[in-house]
Amino acid sequence: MKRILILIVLLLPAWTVSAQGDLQVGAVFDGKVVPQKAMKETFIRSSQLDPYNLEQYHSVSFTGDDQVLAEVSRRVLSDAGKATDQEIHMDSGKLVYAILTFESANHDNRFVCYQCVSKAGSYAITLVYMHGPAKLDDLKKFFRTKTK
Amino acid sequence: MKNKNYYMDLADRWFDALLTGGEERELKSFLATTEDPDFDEIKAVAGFFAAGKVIATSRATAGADSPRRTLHRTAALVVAASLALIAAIGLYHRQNDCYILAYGQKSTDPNLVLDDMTATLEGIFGEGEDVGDELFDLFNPAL
Repeated sequence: MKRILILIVLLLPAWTVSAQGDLQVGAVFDGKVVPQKAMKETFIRSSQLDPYNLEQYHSVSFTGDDQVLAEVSRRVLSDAGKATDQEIHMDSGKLVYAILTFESANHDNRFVCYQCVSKAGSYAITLVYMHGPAKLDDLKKFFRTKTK
Repeated sequence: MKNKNYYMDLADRWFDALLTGGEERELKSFLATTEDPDFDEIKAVAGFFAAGKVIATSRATAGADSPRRTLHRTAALVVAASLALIAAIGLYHRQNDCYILAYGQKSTDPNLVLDDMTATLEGIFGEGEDVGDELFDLFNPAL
């Protein structure tokens, strides 16, 4: 009985952890880098995502200073080391854009997208986490708007 | 060695509640080992009374649970509470599957939420395309 209780207590956090919990960027979504009340958070897990072959979409947007940018960038680049594919763009030593793909054998692929736009004295940062059977190329086709 | 008549006499006096404590124990010890069919009825009645005594004793002590019973009850409550908590969290996430939370304001309008997602991803994937196009232009200025 004691062992069962211990097992349940250990499993409880695992049951409730967010889908991106094993990624460094998970801390950003959890409000541990920027307070959640200072972020705009968008979350979708419904049939609305079916046309995009996604199971879940989660994004946070916020404004930060050099310290926040450094922390978020560090986490994104750390996760990039575990990605099966990555697109990373730096500008003047700062991370401005990144798309990380974590392909899974069970077709539940994960994607982390990062964007940073410089503003006067601060940075507008957007971080996106998605997962589902979608391929990155398909997502780009869905959401590409600018053409030449 | 005491004979059968001795124990028959003990049994008769047992029914009349005339035995001492030692005599009663002696009779029970004999009944537990004898296979003489003449004592079968006595053994059946003695077994019935023994069961009744156990039930009466357990009911008398029901108000004061043993530590082991208390521990099991507490453990069952903890397990039930944990399962209820897990179910509640799962249900919470299931019900709240579409929202925008911005600076203390929450909206669950599906169209609004989807528009926000679309705008965000267009901004990200559009930027990626721009970077690729810029690099292409950089290395192919004549085209």
